[in-house]
Amino acid sequence: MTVKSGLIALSALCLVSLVMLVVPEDEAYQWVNQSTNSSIVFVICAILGFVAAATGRFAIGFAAGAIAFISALVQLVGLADGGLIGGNGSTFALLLGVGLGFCGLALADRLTPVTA
Amino acid sequence: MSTSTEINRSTSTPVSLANDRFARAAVLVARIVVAFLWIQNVRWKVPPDFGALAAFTGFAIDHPVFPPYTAVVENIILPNIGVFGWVIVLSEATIGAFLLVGLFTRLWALVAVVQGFVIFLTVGLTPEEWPWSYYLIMVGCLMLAGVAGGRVWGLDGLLRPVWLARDSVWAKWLARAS
Repeated sequence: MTVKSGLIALSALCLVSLVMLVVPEDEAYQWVNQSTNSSIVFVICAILGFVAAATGRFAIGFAAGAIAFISALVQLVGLADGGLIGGNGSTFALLLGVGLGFCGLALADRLTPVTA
Repeated sequence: MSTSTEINRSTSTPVSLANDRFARAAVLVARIVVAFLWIQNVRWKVPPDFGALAAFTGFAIDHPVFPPYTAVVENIILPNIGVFGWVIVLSEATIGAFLLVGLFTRLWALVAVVQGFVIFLTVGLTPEEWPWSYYLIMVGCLMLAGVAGGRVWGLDGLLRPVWLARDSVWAKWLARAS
């Protein structure tokens, strides 16, 4: 995996997770709960991720991670009633993972030497 | 005397995960699915009272698996479920998040094994529960730790070479966690 392919894969995951908007709220099928607001966050992260991959400006990927992290924090604070973002604990966990992923990829780009 | 059809064991290429596309795909799928197992199961642990979690934890008292653990649940965990509930939510969400992106996979997969064992101690003998599901959780996470699942399409695969190349105590620990 390269940083670029990782950004594309994680962005795709953000978009695929939107399928959960139309999946019944059932333990067997709904792997993560999505609300309208959380969907907007994941779409923004996905767009930034794709742009970072396309342009090679991986700082944009870091911005996507920061947005996901801040959203996860907001979600955690409002976990009792859905808060600003909506969804539930699974939404928080996915936001945390996406934040870790984008920031980790941006960090990997800074730390690994560019090879031809 | 050797024949041409015999395998030369000294020079044959060993089968490894790194060279086997199916093995790599299987590890990736397993890591993602196990990650979502933990991610999904944060959903029903709702603060501030963690009512459903308290009821679930109470099975350790109704159907004890290991009496000393039951005593801990009865005297420490349930009276302070408002605190332990947050610990459980944060730990399980973190397990799911780190496994999803394959960062420090060995460490978090082992944490998941421990958490799976704690859940087994809680509900392993509850009539409605299937104990083998908890064995499978533990073994699945143990396998992810064993094969270092984050090195396949995960952040560990990108960052581990950096940590291995550095000569610091921190880098060595990060490499071990990956």
